[in-house]
Amino acid sequence: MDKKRPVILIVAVVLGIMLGGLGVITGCMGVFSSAIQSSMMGFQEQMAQGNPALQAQLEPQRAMLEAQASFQIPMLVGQFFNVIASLLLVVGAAMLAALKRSGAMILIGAAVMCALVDLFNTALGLYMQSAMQPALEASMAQMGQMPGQDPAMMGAVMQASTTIGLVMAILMLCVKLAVYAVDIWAARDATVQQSLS
Amino acid sequence: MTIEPSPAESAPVGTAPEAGPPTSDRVRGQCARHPERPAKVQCSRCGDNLCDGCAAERVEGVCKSCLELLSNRGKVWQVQWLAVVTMVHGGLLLLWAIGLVVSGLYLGVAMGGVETTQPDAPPPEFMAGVFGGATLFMAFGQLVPGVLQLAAGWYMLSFRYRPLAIVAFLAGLLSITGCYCLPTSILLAIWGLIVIFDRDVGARFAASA
Repeated sequence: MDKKRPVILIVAVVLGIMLGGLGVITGCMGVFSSAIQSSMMGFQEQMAQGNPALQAQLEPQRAMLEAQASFQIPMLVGQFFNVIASLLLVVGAAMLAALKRSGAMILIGAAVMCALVDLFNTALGLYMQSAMQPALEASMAQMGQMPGQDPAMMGAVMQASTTIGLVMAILMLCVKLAVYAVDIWAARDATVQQSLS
Repeated sequence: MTIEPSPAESAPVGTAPEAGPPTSDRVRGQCARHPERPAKVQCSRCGDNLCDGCAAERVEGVCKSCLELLSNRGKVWQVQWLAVVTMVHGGLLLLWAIGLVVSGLYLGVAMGGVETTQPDAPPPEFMAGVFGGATLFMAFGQLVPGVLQLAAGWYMLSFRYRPLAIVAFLAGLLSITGCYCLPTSILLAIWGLIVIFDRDVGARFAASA
């Protein structure tokens, strides 16, 4: 078997496998974490029984979970499509590596699907963060009341972390969209198309 | 295009035959692949006579037949894959480094401007310095291997600067300061060093040196 591949094909395959693998892992982790969150909360509440101070600390966390619960269905739908699109991306990349023409088609379709799913998931994440902001602020204020903590410092850290989180989420989306675009361009490249069976 | 067998098949890998320097005034006879054409130069590896057309296909004095022969041996075919993966990994490390620098500076400035309400709390400037310093240290551990891997990957595509590739793979372990990239850096280093120390890969790099 001829092991030689055009470099641009290798770029398309590597980016596809990397983004696809990352998408599958993050999607599965998102589903898993939302599934165990409520049971973790139940466990923490059991531990805090009979301890008013601990129960008071759990209050903001409970409020955050309640705010998050209203987004449970769209979040799960987003993660489901994320896993499916990412798996398709990996499959397409693997088929492209085997020089299958259908691999390029699957890769391009999956990349477009991944881009749309990422747009949806990022928008949903930002909306969720804004909806949970009051509960988050209450949680940080409560942590600031703990012995040895400075409320002003906690507040400053919280505000800066929120801003950084927002900027990072948007930047990450931009980088991923750019990489999807490069992947599509590479899969459509004339050299790649010529080398496919 | 089909390539006829050349004496390179029997030549030891990575060694130049005892041919004279490939200068046109010393070459006599016909091209080894095109007997109807006069030879102008010799391959610096197998010593075959080459016409003008064949000479134009050489890389660093090595004829196309020798290059193809070297490229099809052992793990040489993996070098292009390794190069692309190394560049992608290096690019991600660089992005992570930039993110750390920007977020560290922003958080440091935000913490430094706090008017503390607790008399026994450490000064905000001290906290900002510690936090900013730690973040910059983490960023340094991503920046150095990121730049090295981008450069090494680029040169690996044309089989150049093998030592740079070795340094880049080992430097990837510096990413321990940022935690997230360490597992992939270790995997890349293992694969990279196995490929780069392969005898045939070494010969292919030597042909382009």
